[in-house]
Amino acid sequence: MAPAGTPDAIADKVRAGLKQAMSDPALRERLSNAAIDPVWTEPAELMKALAEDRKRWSELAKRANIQSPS
Amino acid sequence: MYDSPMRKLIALLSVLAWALPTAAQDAYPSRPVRMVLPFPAGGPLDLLGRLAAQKLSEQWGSPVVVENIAGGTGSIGANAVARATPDGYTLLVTVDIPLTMYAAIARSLPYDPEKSFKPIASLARSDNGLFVNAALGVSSVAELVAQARKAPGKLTFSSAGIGSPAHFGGELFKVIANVDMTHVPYKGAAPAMSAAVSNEVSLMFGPIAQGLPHVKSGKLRALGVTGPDASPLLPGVKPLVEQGFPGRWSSTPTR
Repeated sequence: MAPAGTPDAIADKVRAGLKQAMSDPALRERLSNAAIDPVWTEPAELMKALAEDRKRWSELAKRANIQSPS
Repeated sequence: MYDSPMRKLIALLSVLAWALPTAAQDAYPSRPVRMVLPFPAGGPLDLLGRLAAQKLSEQWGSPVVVENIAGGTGSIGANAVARATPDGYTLLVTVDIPLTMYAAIARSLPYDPEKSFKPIASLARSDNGLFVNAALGVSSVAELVAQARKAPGKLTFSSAGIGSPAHFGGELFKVIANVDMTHVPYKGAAPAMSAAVSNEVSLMFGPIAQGLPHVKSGKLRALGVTGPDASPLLPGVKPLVEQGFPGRWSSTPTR
């Protein structure tokens, strides 16, 4: 994530850099050994998934009465 | 034809305006980039962030510096990035919690989880396992459910605290499996896992890497994983969705 308003050209450059980084076999192996699965997701799909998760965790929090301690 | 100096100037300015985005991209990064991780050093997110930062530094020939800004379930670090100048020199690498679970329960959130950030990508996912203390004597989720139904509320599950992923995981299990269990919050992920290992609580939805050594030592049993696929680290342990417990068990990944 970058702050809202970050220029597209720069976000694209960061994205390309991260995509290349995440394709590195040695990096992928180290992550897999730590039970981290390097699955790449593009921004539109990511934002959709985050919105869905917010909704479903809100519903569960209401149902189970989970309230922030602070 | 005669061109006034002013006209030339206007023409030049418009060329510059068009050229600027490309130039900005070519020049970026011209100074160190700050990568904020909103959780303490040492966990899985920290590993991912540091490896990614190192690779970016190598590619760009310019440092990407990791900064752990922990606290407030990730909201303090996330807010620091939301308030930073949007110029690409401050980035956030986080698990989804400050944008999802914490956002769902926070009384007031200092940022808008939808509008305060520009998404770059999701880099990875990390799933939990359902770990039970071996003394419970169950070796499948079906047996666990049967035991929970015999004595509603008697089985206990630990978590790193109220509103933590393990808390949500346990509550989700109660809904999907239609059982009653009692939540016992601890102060952090490590004591929560220790409680399951020492049989202070019956079970925990915990990070696979954290539970694995205790499965190997025989103190815990892994009954299922929350992801869509089995984990290579827990061979033979099926996803919950394949064991008759449909639903979306896990959040989207580490980002």
